[in-house]
Formats: sequence, C-alpha cells, structure tokens
Amino acid sequence: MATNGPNTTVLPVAAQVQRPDGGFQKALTGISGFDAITGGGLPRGRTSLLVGGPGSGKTIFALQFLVQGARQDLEPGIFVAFEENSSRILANAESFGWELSKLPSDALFFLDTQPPPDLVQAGDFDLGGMLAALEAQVHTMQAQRIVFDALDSLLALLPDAAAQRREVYRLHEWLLANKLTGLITLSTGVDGASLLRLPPFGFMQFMLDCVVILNHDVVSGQSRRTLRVQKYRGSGFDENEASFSIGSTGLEVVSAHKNQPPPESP
Amino acid sequence: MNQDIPFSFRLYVAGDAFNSAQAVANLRALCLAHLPERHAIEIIDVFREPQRALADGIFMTPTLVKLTPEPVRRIVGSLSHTARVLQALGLPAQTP
Repeated sequence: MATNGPNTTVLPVAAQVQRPDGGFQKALTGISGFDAITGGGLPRGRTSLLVGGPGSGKTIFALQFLVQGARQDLEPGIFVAFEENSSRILANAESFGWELSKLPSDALFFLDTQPPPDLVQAGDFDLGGMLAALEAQVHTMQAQRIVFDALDSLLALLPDAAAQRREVYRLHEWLLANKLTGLITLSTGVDGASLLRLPPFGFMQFMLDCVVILNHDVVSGQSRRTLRVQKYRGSGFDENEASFSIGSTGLEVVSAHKNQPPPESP
Repeated sequence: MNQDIPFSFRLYVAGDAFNSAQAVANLRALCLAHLPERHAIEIIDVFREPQRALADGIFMTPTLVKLTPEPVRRIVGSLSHTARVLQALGLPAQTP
C-alpha cells in the first residue's frame, strides 16, 4: 500500500480524528508518510506554513495537497502562483501522472499573480484587491483548500517589515474568515540558516497553526531530502526528521520512527 | 508637442482603504496640474467588482493603469511619489 502517490493514502480514513459534528479535523495531503506523521494531514480550516530552499519540493507538496482535495476528497482548491507561472508548474508536474489538465477548473484553479517586470511602485499598497478577487473565485467554485506559493516573492515588494506583517495578518484573517484550509510556502536561501533572516518567518511561525520544514542537501554525493514538522497546534505529531523522496508519483515520506519500508517506485 | 494627446486612466481601488483614497486624490491632483482638460479617469472598486479584478489581473491595490497613450503602464501604490509617477507616465517633471 501507499505506493500510488496522491491516489492512495497510508492512513485509513477511520483513523482520522473526528470532530463532534462528524467532520474531520484534518485535511489529507495524499502524501504517503506525511499523513501518517501528522495523524491525518494539515489542520482543516487553518493555515499551515511550508518552508524550504529552492528545489526542496515545496511546490510539489503544495500541488499534491490540492490534487488530493480535488480528486479524492471533493474539496476544490486554488493555487495562487506568485513566482512561477502556472503553465510552468503544470509542465513540471506532468511527470507525476496526476493528469492535471483533466481536472476541471472548478476543482483546481490556478491564479497567476506574478507582477509584470515593468511594474512601477509609487507608494503604499496592499493585498485587498487580490483577496477580493480570490473571494469571488472561492465562492464560485466552493473552494475549500488554497495554496499561496512563494509568498515571500510578493512580500519582498512591500516597503518594510511592518507592511509585510500587516499583509500576512490580513491574509491570515481572510483565510480564517473563509474557512479555508490554507498552505503558504516560503522560499529560503540555499542554506537553511537564511531562514532566520526571512523577516516575516518568525512572525508567521508564531501566528500559524502548523509549520513544516523541507531540506535538501547532498552528503557524500548522495542527495538527501528531509522533512520535519516543527509545530502543529492542538495535535500530536512525529517531531523527528523524516526522509522523503520525490518519486514518480510525487512526494513519498519515510516515517523516521515507525520503520515503515520505503515506498517502492513502480 | 504632445500637448493635445489625451490620457485615459483606470484606477483600481479597494473600497475606502486609506492608500486607495490617497491614490484617488493624488491622481486627480496630478491630472489637474499636468494634464488639464486632456484626461479621463475611470475608478473601479474591486470590492464591488471582484470578478473584474480577477479578469484584469489586479492583485495589489491601489493600481493605476494608463490605457492611452501607448504603451499601457501599471503603477502600484498610493501615487505619493509624484516624480516617479510622472516618469512612469512619460510626463515632464515640471508643470508645462
């Protein structure tokens, strides 16, 4: 089991934490291993933060979370692309066999928000326009999941740390008000240490309910990818670093403690 | 030389947000000073017309779009930096 990527989950649905109203407290990501580490995925109706360097697998993780929602859980999703445009993201995801082009746009919707290169800034601005536009789209497709990929590239356009905090706060309030299960990704520099220099990170780490850190390094010529859940408010989780690979069907996490055999590539 | 070319603008605002209100005031003042009787301003409130913001790719507010004369230019922000706005619009810094 758990070898077919986003179409299967390692966790039987019955094992998920159920709320008094019968709904689930967590939203499955469809990433084999990750749903086990967290006891069912990301916190539902809350916002999670996914942090990692370039090429660490953030975008794939985020997309897989939306594909799971759109295809398995009847939870339509929106992917807001701040850095890479959606056609490039789709092309990169082609190799995982998710067949994204077959998903209707009311199940998975891409919003390209890369600022034009010749954009001129003259004074204070905010994300009110984007959130109003997104809210219309959320209502149209009854979206339940949303990804803000590479939010750091948008925050970098803001004049100072206070404005960055203000907009992160605005975004978080908006996510809560719309009862969305949100995932924000932030890109760090190549070395993990530069995470500390990312101004909004400390603030976001404190504010958001779940923080996941991805690492990619090469040790003695061997590529090594690890994932660690740093924080999960109101839930137990496996705190240890877990290895993962980017396999033929997406991310595959090997739980550190439970001695699960690594998923075989077909 | 270019005294007669009319300018048309579209300004996307977010309700009565402070920076949006500033942008409206700054644009009106700038037009009065630099483009008297040869400008047209359309103001779009993205809170009232979110679908339009989505279709037009407006994600930061306020955003000013200069539609004519070509080239189309986008300027984001409250338009408080007058010199930068004039430069982006291709207008001389001094009042003619």
